[in-house]
Amino acid sequence: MESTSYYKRAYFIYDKESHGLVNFVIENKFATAITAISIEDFVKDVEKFTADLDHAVVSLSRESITEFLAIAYKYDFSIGILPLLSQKEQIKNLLLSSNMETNLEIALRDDAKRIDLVRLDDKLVYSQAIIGDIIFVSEKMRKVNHSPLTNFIYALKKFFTLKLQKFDITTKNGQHISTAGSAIVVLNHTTKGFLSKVFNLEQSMRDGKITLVIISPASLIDYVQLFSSLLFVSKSTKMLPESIGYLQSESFLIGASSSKKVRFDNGEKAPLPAEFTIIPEALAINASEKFWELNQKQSSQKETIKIANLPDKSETEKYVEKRIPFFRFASEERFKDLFLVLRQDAKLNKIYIVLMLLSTFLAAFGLFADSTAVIIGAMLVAPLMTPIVSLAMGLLRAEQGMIKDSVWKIFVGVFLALLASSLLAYLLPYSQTTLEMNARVNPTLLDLGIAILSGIAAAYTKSFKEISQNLAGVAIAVALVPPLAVAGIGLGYSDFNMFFGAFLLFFTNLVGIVLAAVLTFEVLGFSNVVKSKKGFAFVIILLVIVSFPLYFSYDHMIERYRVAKMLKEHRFIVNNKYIIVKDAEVFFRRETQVIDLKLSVRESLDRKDLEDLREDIQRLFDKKLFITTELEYIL
Amino acid sequence: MRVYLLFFVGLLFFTSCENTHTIVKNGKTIQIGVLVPLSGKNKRYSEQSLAGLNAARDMQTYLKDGTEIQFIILDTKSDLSEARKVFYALKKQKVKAIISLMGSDMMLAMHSVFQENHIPIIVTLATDNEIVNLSDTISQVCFTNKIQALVAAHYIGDEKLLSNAAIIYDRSNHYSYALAKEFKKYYQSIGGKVDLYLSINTAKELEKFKNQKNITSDALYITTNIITTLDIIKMMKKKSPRLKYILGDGLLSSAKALDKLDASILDGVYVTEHYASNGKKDKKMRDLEKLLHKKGYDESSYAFLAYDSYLLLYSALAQCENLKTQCINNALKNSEIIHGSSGNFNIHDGEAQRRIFVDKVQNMKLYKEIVTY
Repeated sequence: MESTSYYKRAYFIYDKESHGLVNFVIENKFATAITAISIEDFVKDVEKFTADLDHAVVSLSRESITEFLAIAYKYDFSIGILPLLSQKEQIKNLLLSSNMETNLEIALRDDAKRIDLVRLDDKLVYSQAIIGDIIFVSEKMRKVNHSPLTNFIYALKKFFTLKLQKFDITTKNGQHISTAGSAIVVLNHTTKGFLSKVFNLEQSMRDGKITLVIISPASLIDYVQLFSSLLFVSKSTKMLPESIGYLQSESFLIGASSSKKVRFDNGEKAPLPAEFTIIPEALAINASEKFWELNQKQSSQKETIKIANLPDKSETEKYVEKRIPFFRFASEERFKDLFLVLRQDAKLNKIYIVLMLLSTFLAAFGLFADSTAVIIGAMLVAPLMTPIVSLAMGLLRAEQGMIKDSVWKIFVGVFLALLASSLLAYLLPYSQTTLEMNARVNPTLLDLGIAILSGIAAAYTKSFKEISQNLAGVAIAVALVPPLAVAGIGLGYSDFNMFFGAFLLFFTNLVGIVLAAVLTFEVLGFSNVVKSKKGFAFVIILLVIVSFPLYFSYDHMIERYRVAKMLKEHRFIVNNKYIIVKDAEVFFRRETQVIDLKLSVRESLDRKDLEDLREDIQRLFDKKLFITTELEYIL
Repeated sequence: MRVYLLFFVGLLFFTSCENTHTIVKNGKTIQIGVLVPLSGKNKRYSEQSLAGLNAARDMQTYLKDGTEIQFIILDTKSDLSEARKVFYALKKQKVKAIISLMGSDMMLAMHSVFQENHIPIIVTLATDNEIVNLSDTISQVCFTNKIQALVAAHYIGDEKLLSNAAIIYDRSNHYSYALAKEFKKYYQSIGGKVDLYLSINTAKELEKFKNQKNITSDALYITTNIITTLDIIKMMKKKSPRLKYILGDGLLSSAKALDKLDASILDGVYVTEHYASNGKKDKKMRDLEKLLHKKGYDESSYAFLAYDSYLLLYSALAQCENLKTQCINNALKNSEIIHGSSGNFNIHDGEAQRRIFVDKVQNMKLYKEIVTY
């Protein structure tokens, strides 16, 4: 085992706070001869003291230590940092222990290693430098430890007022980056602070790179997410939040649209634009083994740029104009592939026409045969969902071309479906209305709910390639073609009630999907403007229009259910004959409420009994009823 | 803007108010007699009935023309001769109508008195089929024994599919005997088999019944007084756990009047009643319940029927501006539809046309099973 050697002699530099450590350091167990000097005296005559200085143990405040680092760098002596137990930030940064004896042992070891330093002109960055506004902690608050409540109030205030600024960054290799953010943090090295709570940053003080973190909550949702990740810190692997990006390079030239200065952690400031450069292996320091494990020597010219989620150049221009929006928005370039697919989906083509006809015929035959399985098959073949989703995106991004194409494609699809199914109904030698047809002529608000949920699912599925296979399920849930086929059959039968009922169901689905898809795309950040008012307004107007008949239909449905339930609990005594209501079905034929009763009796009912029964039932209702009965006899 | 706001608030204020008419008192009064057994064996239900009656009068004391309706309440002491005496006392005071809170036995016993004196009489609680036929001045507010027995028989036989029933009644109590007899008739008419038809009146008879073998029937129809009924059900629940029980109207209300009661005894028992605790309650009904609670009464069949009796009386008086006996009688015997304690009812040829519920008892509340028109 290799034995540890210690410096034969060293200086101990202290300030007022650490004055009490002088004896402790002088009386060290490691046979190191200590010369104790206060920082004030040291600074007064630096040249004299550094002439024969190889190693210094320092116990200084954060502000003074940055200054001392510059001296150590200039006169090239090694340092061992011995923080007071109250200087927790320093202890954490250097991964020291809470035992002063152990920390002194580390500070006096003769095994100092060199670390990089970040320089801005003649200033050094000890742990970090900040440009802009670290939204959760104000500049003043950073100096004093405030309560979580004060931080929360500050964060809440920022929630309503936050604006991003434009940052122009040029790396050593000449890469120019324009983005928007609330702050940039130039890191030399830190293991403390809010950034370390949010994500695990791969960073070394011996990699020859400066790390630059850009904080950019591009929407209020991002802001809340970032804030909650701070509040609920997970000990497991921390992913890079969407609103944070980072760069690593040997130097950065940084300019900002609204910040004028960069702030150092010792309170000093420097004007912007500013160029930060790395000084590799600038300073020899003593640190714990754990610290060196984390800060292993690396040598790579490769720059790291992880800013995919941050606003790009074209988005930045819009972001800096106003306060951050509720949801993100996106430039064309960001989701180029998706927009390309959606534009293609909006265009009419032969495949669409063929599939539309096939699915309509399938649905119509399934409806005539009263076969649920065949109708589901038709739903899966139906291609209507794609132009509807494209229409939603077109409305959101106010893309006239996409809107026109998708509306035309939907119109052609609807026309073909109506034509095909009505022709089929007209040509068939019989005109029967099956249960499957009846099930599609009385849409209610529930159908609108289904359509909205399906729209959300459709937009969500479309947005992520890995779950695109789920579109089949969405198609089944919302079932666009079968109602169209029923509407067409209604036309073929010249039954306009059937046509209007089924077409209303189709239109409900259409509006519901479009609205939900627009909203979902907006939430997912696909909008290209801060507020896409026009698209929303159009869909909301449609929604209001379609809601009226649906509401009345829903009201009818509730009324039907209520009356049927009430009647099933009823019994009648007519001319001493006890009549049990076994089942009751209520429906509306035009405006007349029809009640179909299944009655159970012991004795036969003559016309008078039935007439009395009708009167008794009618007495329960305000509206005039049409009552039919089916009798079963108890033997 | 402010004008619109004021208009809107004003509109809200006016629409939220009920459409009430202010009645100007004219100083006149109209006397209504109340025959009530406030002492004696029927005392138990009389207090609840009077509470309902007074609550109804408190809610509508004056006729539209400002005439005050006053009660002259006389105690029949559950005694026939006393009942006759107080009836004539009411006649002497020229009451315009009488609300009778007496039971079927007393009503039947006094039929000649009613027939001779031509005073319109509203029978609140008595359910015997024959009461309406006693006199052309009697109107019955509750449904008859015949109807409730018919519903009970069909419910057990045709809906619960219970083909054997035992019947226990009290021969000395007219209501109990008549109801049991009607039930037996209807149950047998639909093919039900009556295994046991037993009168229990004395403690000795009760003890003898307790000592005999189990009842093997599917159902027990029981119309004895509430104390005997509770005793029998308590015993039978141990002996024959699968037995279903069905009781006549008013028995739960009588149970509530008892000083000490193990409420769980009646859980799961079916009753024929004219209301259910879980039915929809309008504002009037809620007000009535509040008034009853204030006076220390829970929902009660007797109180509700008394309330309905007053509404019937009020409706008849309102129709007869001249307050002539004949007019009042006619309006009572064939009433308009009245929104009563448990929904609409009306009187047709003196008989109540009203709903009958079959309820299930749980925690001394009635939960609707079916409702019969």
